[in-house]
Amino acid sequence: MKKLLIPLTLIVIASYMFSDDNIVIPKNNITKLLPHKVQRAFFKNHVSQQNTVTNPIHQTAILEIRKTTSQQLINCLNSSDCNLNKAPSNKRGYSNKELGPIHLELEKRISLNGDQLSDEQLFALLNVSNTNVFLLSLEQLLARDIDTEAKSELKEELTQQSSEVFAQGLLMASKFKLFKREEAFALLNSKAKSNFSTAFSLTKKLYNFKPSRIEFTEVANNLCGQYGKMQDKELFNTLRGNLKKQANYMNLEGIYFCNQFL
Amino acid sequence: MNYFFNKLVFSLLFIIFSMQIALPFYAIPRDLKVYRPRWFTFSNEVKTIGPALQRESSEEYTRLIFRKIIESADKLAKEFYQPTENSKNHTYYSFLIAAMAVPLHESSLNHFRYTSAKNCIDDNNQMLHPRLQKSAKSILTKYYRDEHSNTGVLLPNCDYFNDQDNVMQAFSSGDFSDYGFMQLNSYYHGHMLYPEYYLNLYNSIEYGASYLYNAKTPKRRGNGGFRHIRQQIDGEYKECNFRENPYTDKQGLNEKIYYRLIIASWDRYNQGNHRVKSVCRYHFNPENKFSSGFKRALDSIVLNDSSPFNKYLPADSLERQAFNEILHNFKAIYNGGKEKNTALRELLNQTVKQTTPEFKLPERNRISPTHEIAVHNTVLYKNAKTSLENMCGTIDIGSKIELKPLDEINAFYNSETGSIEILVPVRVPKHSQYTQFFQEQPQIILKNNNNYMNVRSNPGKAQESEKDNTLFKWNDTSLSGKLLQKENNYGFLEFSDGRKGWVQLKTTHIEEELIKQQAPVDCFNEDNSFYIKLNSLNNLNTNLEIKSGQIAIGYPNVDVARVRMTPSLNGEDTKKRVYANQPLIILDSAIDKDNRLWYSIKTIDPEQNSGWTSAELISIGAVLSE
Repeated sequence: MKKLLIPLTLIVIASYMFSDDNIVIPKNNITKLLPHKVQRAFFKNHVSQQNTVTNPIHQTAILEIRKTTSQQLINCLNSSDCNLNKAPSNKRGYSNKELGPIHLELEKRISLNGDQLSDEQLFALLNVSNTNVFLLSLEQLLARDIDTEAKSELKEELTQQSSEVFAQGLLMASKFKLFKREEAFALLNSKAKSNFSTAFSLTKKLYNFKPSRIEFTEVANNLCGQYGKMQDKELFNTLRGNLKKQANYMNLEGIYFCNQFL
Repeated sequence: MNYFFNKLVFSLLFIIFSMQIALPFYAIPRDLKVYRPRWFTFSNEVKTIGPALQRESSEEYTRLIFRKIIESADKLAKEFYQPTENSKNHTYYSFLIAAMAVPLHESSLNHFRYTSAKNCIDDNNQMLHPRLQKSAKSILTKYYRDEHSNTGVLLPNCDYFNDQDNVMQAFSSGDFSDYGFMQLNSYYHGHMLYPEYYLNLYNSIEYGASYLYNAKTPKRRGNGGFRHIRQQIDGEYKECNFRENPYTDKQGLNEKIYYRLIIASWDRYNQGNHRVKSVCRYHFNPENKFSSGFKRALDSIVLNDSSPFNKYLPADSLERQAFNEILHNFKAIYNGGKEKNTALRELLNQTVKQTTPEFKLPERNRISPTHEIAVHNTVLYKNAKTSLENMCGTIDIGSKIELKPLDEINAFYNSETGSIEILVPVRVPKHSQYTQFFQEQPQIILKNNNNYMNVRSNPGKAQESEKDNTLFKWNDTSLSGKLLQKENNYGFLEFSDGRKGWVQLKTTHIEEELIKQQAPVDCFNEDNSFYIKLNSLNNLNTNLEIKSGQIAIGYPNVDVARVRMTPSLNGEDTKKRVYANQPLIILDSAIDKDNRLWYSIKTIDPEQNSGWTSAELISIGAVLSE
């Protein structure tokens, strides 16, 4: 029977380990915290109104920005050897190009004081691997009166992007007239052919490019040529669905897409 | 004998002991049981949002949870949903299943429980537990234990509850690393501990589903969520061999990927990175304890009918019917069968009605009485539904017709296009030369069989670089074509046999006939009023102000305005933009702590982006409600 003692002891210990309700709470010296100062009004106004059932727009993510990060960033931006692309070490040992919390600080800085950043700094920020930082910097640069050389550099930077960032960036650049209309559609067509997710993102934004029938048809023909034979028919149909939705919004009838009218 | 008896007892005890340890990690019960986690106990003044275990019945709890999961998942995966009859929508239904399976596995659908005050644990509430991690501790202390804050202490010491019977608790994992319904890590998803999420189960579900879908966090761009993996099954994640299907041995070219897609998406969710090794974890090792644990949760929904959803959704509820339809549609990927979605669409329509405010014009009509119709071929509908049979006619581009908006603006969910549409009733001047009604729309007929017309896929002959764009030769005089649209000298016809195509109009081979009988007879009324889509209105040029609670139409007065999640400059950028003159609807307004005015907006375009933007950047075109 002595042999049973060990497992029994272990069971007793284990049951205490894995049950919250059985934990014996030691008396501690922490004085009872002051009685509640919960203000019903706060929660009534602040939390209950966040209820997404009635209004999903109210969901929030309050983002905290640490002062130390902010200072580091400002020092970095002001120094000549500031390297924002330095990949932080990762304990799992794989490369992570993301800058993490520093993005938030960058976003805040560009949003609030973007006009104080030099063109060079903004161009440097285009290379930070973060969607938002890229779009904000692009937006700042597009709003400035930059020279032709800088414009071609900006076009180059944009061309290197893909997927949603490219689609969003191209739309923004078109609205700011960085590209001539035919240039924008030529780039749209060539990038849409480069990979499916870029095509997918671009087709969702076609309406905002305000294409003419001819331009829309060209995009459709181009996409049909590139993806019409893809094995994954469901993905292809999603692309077709995107195009159809855009055509509907523009009241465009009779756009021909891979053996069918949209 | 004594030896064998001892051996037997020892073995039994060993098994029991092993289960005590193993249960929390490998065999999470597929039921609405409250299990192993750490619970934080909130003071009774805290108003939590969403159902709580042991307060709502299991049926009601599951019903509310299910509804929110499906609403959130639908919003995300809708881009893969094609409403046409022959669409399979496998990706869409797979994501709905994934969105149910993930919280079932992660938390057994736990978030809040309403329990005896005796279950308050001081170590947890006072942040004294040695396993409580630094990242979580700092957030929890700041928001729930700071006696100097506006809210005071929300997680009081347990003796505060001495005179109370029941309390509300929210949970974390046993090691205090993951929190809430979706069990997201406090280091990477720290905001999930903010009151907006931790005290609001619905927000938690929405964020968790979104992270599962696109792997984006406020801090990081993220990649490799369900959406990305789905697009890369034959690319980046070819090694996962998604086309090998363990769900059934029925073979099909494209139908085999979805079960594995769900597991791979959870593997990514669970490990927080999108390396092939992580996403393909189940493929490389189907026995992996984590992946196989999730697989059991998934199977409890799709194979074994033993999940709380199967068990507790009330038999006669809309939610149960929608759940059955989702299951049917997922199983149809493997077993065949037509899509069923009547109850699901009804459930989602109800949500739209709840979340879309009613639009009522004030007594004194404050929409500018004149608008210029600038959108090409603005369609006139006989009522507030944009279906084909409701179309009465069109107004041509460039017309300067004065339209008088009438009483009521209607917003509805169009299940065909999968979007919310807003329609404005307008009065059209009678006898306008720019208005075309279908009664007057011609049908094109071929004069005689000796001639023929080429029906083309594009208006115009094929360019040199293109292939011949002829679809068919039209030489049958019994075949007539309804003119749907004109483009230069070409017309887009729908033929009586259902085929469509472009033909040259001004030739001697064809002639036009008026087809009056095809127009809806109830199109016309005394007012000559019709419905048009809100985005057909342009040049809203009155500058108005709105008060809180009013709904309005506006447009950016700058080149570009950013859309944010929260009404503040520091709010999370949704990465969406609205551009000059792009009409949008203003749903709400708010003032931030710096006393700036913000508008809650929704764009009127196929994307229908919504969020907050600074009021300084927006001009009001029309106020739609008092």
